[in-house]
Formats: sequence, C-alpha cells, structure tokens
Amino acid sequence: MKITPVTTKRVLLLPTAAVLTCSTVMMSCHQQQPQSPPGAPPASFTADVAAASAKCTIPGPVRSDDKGRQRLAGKMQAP
Amino acid sequence: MSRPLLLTLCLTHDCTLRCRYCYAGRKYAHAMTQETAERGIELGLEEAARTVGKLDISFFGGEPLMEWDLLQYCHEYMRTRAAERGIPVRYGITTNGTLLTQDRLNWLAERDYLIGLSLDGSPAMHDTNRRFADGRGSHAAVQEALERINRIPQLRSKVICVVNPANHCHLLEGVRWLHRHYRGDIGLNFDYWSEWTDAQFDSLTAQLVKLTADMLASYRCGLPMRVETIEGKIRSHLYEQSGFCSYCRIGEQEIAISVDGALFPCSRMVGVGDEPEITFGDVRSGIDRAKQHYYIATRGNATPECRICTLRHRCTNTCGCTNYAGTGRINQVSPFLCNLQQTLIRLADELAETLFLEKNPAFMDKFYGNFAPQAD
Ligand code: SF4
Ligand code: SF4
Repeated sequence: MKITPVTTKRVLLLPTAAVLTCSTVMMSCHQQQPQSPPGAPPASFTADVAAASAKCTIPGPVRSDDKGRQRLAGKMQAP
Repeated sequence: MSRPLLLTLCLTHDCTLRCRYCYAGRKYAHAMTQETAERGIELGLEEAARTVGKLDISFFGGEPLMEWDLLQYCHEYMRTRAAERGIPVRYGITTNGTLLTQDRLNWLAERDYLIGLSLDGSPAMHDTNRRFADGRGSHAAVQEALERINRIPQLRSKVICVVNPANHCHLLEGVRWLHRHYRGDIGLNFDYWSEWTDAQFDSLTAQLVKLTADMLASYRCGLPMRVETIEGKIRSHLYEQSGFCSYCRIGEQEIAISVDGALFPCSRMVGVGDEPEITFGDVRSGIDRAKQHYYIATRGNATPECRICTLRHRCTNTCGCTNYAGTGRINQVSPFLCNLQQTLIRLADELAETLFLEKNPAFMDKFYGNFAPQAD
C-alpha cells in the first residue's frame, strides 16, 4: 500500500450544505463519544444554516430560499 | 460554536475480557483511587472554565463497570463541583457490556448517559477477537446488554464495532446482524494499530462494497442501515465548504487520565503505556503547558503527498492518535489510512449520489432535514 493523493476532484451531483458540527471518525474499542445524540441531523441544523450561509461562497450552502430548494430538487445545476 | 472539553477517566485497567486486539496493554488489576479521580475532575473543570466553559466526561477503562462504586462516586463529585462552578456537563461511558445489568443501565439512563457499547457485529465477527480470559466468546453476554439497551427508547447509545485484519471478512454479515438487532448508530472503528496486507485490504474493500450496496437497499426500503462511518463521509462532502470537518485538536480538546493519574492528549493513547513522551502532565502537577504547546504546534498533517490531495478536507489525515497508531507520529499518515479513506469516500459518494438523484425520502430527510425538496 502507498500514499497516493487524489489530484482530480470528482464533481458530485449532490449539493453541499453548511453546518457547525461534524462527526469525528474514530477507531477501536476505546473511542471518543460522539458529540451529538445519534440520529437525524444536528438539532441546530436549521438555525445554523442561515448563520453559516453568510460565510460560504461558491458553490454555496443549502439555503431555505427558493434557490436552495430548486437546487435540491435538481432544477438547477448542482455544484 | 466550540465543542465541550472531553475529560476521560480510565477507572481501571482491568477488564472482564481479553480481546485479541486490545491495546489497553496488560491488564493490571488496580483501579484509580478516589483521590486521583477527584484531582482529575478538578483539573478538567479548571481547564473547561479557562477555555470553552463546558465539559463532557467519559468513563473508560479497561472495563469501567468493574469500578461501579467509584463511577457513582465520580458522577456525584462531578455533578456537585460542576454545579458550584456553573459548568454544564454531559456524561458518557464506553463499556464492553458484560457487566451492564438492568439496575446499572437504569441508573445511567436516568442520568442521561451516552452509552458506547463495544460489540463487533455477529457472533462470528465478534467472537473472533472479543473473548473472556478462558477463551469463550462474549457475544451472547453482550447481546443481552444490547437487548436491555433496546428496551429503553430514550437512552442515548451507540455501538462500536472494531474491524481488524482477523475479523474483517465477517464485516457485511456483522453489520447486517447489528442492523437487525439495533436501531441506533453503528460506528466502524478500523484498527490502525495492526498491519494490513494488500490482500487483506482488497478483501476489506470487497466487504465495504457489499456493505454500501446493502445500505442502498436499506434506504430504498425505508429503514436505513445507520453506519455512521459511511454517513460521516457523506456529511464530509455536504459540509466541506464550512471547513469544520475532521480537524483534530489534539492537546486542546481532550484530556484522558490514566489509572495512575497521568494526562494523555487522547483517550486512545492511554493504552500504549505511560511513556513520558506522550503524556503531558499528571493530576498532581497539572498540565505541562510546554508539552501541550508542542502538541498544538505539531498536530495536523505534515505528509507532503496530502498537500495536493483533493480529499484532504474529507479524510481523517489530521487525527493525531490515528496517525500515531499508524506511523508513531501524530502528524504523519500511514498508507493504510490513505487507502481506507479513499475507499470510504468513494463508496459513500456513490451511495449518496444515487440516493440524491432518486430523491430518496429517508436520505433527503436525514441529510437535508427541513431543506429536502418538496414534492412537485
Ligand atoms: S486520501 Fe491519502 S493523500 Fe489524500 S489527504 Fe487522505 S491520506 Fe492524504
Ligand atoms: S473490552 Fe476493551 S478494554 Fe477490555 S479487553 Fe476488550 S478491548 Fe480491551
């Protein structure tokens, strides 16, 4: 096995979002506890998106406005 | 929004099991003293007050339930002292389940503990490594604990499934078993301490390909397999723009305290022994700030290849303890990590893209919540 970087970015069809938490991937039995309760998106997802939106540039986070909805619905070019 | 400081207390090095992959080292039978525990809690509260103002405490081992009285004592001590200082605290425990009686579970549930249960999937997968000292497999005993957990719906829990070279060939069957018997999140913890040969890696990849095919089918029938390891990679794409993903804050975000009171920068480094080059102080002398700064200055990823890699923000290449396990350095990735991360990201993306194009309701709901598209 070697360390081989991936140098061409695959364009994914699913749009990005923005959020303030992420789950840390940990190994083995001796593991850190996850930071938010299991299940569903973080409780603060809806509120956080608006705040985080301001910081993000292209291709833009998911927004609650029509643009975001259209993008999600596949009507606009996804990033 | 900063995360709480994570304080881990290793209540004992002793354990009811003798798992073959355990890196907690030899099982010496002594427990943490009350005095060490109190000092550790004070130190954690002090550091939380100085920094983020909130704390998560996690009990750990060995098997922490072997020290049940001490655990209850620590809980009460923490609760009282944190309230006096106005610091919010959440509680957690990682257990092998063999001593998780109904009474104990009720006690933990009443106090809103997050329970991490170490259970490696099906009997064949689990019993490959997780055995009692006399060689018997522990799956049946742990399954009982899982059933008790299932009976308390409001309980916060998660299953931790370790995947190593010896048991990986059972991965698909193991996760299917968990999906049938458990509704919570399943975390796959790959063993970075072991040597993986190319052939073993290929067969691991084959298992992961089948697993993501199963996940696809499970989403399509409306009851998704909750494999956090894959879902985490999907989120790493969705949230990539925000720059919050996977950056390890070793030396700052976590303090793990060994049975004897030595401070480690991560709970997963405690088991490798009290080597002076890894510890950064102890409960008596406090945090060694020079060493803490060394961790903060050194952490991250100094592997040259990664600088040009387009996956670097989605890969766990900065995880200090994972790097330490693979290369002996907190900022140097191992080939196994690189190959595994690329495989996980590719499979997660293929899965997510398919489900997104189908506008799979369970997928949209889980990953986009209120922002899921409306029906036309
Ligand atoms: S995928 Fe490999 S090369 Fe790319 S960032 Fe991760 S470890 Fe580095
Ligand atoms: S249950 Fe955990 S601490 Fe006990 S032997 Fe197994 S891996 Fe080690």
